[in-house]
Amino acid sequence: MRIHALEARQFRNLENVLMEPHPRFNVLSGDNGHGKTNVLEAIYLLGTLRSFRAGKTEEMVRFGQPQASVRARVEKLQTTRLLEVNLRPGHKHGRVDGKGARAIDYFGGFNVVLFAPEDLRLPKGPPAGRRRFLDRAVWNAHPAYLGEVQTYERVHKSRNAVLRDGGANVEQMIDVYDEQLARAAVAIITRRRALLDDLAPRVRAAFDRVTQTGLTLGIAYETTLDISNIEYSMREKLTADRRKDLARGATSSGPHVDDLELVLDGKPARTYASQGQLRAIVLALKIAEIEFLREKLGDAPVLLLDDVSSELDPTRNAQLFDFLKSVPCQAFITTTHPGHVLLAEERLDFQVVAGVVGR
Amino acid sequence: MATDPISRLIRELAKLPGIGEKTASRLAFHILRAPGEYARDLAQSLIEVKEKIRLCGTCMNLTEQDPCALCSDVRRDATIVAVVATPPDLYAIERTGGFRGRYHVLHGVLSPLEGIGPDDLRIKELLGRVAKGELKELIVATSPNVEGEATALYLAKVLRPLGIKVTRIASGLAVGGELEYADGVTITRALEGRREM
Repeated sequence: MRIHALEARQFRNLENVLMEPHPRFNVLSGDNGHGKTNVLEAIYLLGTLRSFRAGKTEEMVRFGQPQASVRARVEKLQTTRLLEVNLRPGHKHGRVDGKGARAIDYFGGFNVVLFAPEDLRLPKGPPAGRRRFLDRAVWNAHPAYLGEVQTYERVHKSRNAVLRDGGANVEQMIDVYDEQLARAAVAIITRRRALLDDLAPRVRAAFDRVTQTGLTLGIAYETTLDISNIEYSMREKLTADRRKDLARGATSSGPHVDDLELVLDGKPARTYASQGQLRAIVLALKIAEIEFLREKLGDAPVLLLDDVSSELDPTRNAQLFDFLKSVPCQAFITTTHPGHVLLAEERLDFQVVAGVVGR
Repeated sequence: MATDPISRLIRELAKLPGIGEKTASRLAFHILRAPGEYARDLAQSLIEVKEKIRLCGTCMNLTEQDPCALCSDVRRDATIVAVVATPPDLYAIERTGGFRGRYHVLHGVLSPLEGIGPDDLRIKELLGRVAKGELKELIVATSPNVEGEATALYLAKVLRPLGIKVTRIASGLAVGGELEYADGVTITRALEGRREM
């Protein structure tokens, strides 16, 4: 996959950016706060219709402007399309080749994988981060997953609202949402586990390549449910937890509390891995995700690396760039130190100063 | 503020769904320039719709006379009732001409997120109809989305104990659609709802 041209107007601090990126490596350097990450965010938005930063749509529109837009001419599997996302406060609209597209149809046009400093906290951080990693990877490979997640979230929120607000026939209402939630959970868990099956051997191999110590890294889906019959076991669990859930006003079990288990030589990585091993784990997860997507989609996704080099030790950093050189992909790399970007060839440098991207 | 009649009309029209300031202004000037009695007729029909339309005491559909034309049509099967969320849903089924039973309009779907519970829908009236013992089958025809499904499940729970047959309209692949592009949930549904041929 490849971006031939990128344009961002009134997007955060990017007033009017027009870039013709290199088919391989694009290095964006500049001091913090000048807009390097905004360029990555714009590309990410084109691929996912979402931001990787928290916040509302209006925050993506340059202060004092009514609207923002991001456009790119992208190539996937020899087909070139014009992708466009228009933003107004509270509104986000994707267009493909000038025609409006529903979110579900918009996806699959273009795939991106982001590697950001936050990812380095993945193994030790809260489970939500690991679920997000899983969900993003599933999405990239299966656009229909978006609808399944939205359904699950809506039922989950509805059940919690009934738990909190009670109202008429509360027990029967909870019965209804238990049944719906159990059904919706099946799709989510099945997809996530299928992804892990695809990812596991790649993660093991990548970790081995990165560390070369003979230690093995295993990944598994961690859930309190019986995966041989998800729907039934989820219903049982919801029924058993009903009193507790009513007291808490929240649902105690389901895919929304599941986790990605990382096992280093038979022990939980989160407690046993060293600092260096934790980074190697993250690197292995990202490499596996990229390799999986490349195989699944038949075309490598566009990679977005947000100042990752400064967070990695020199050895891991060198391994990261060796991997990048080995994958036929286009990458956008931000950095405060262009010297950290260990790429000598096929590289185009851009300077980002006060929202202006120049050569 | 309300002194200028044109601005007032534009403001009122702009409150309608799907109508923005520009369209409202175009409509307002169109009404102003329209020949003859158009404005008076429009105003009259707006008033009538509000004054004369009420709910049918049986099926809860919008009607001018109670019982409504659908409920008083003796050619329709009074033992089968399709339960729908809104009047437009009723008309969607009616337009097919394929259903010859009667209806019940709930006027909404369960939505805890919007604070809509069973007591906010016309479920009590439906239970009343069932209690009379004249109905054989209820077809729950709410949309196959989260709220529509929840409403259907709830109805099944409260109606089954009354000994009436409760059925759900099928959902699955759209006619003329392609399997390859259907989402997982739709395909799963379609497989669950398969029929022997």
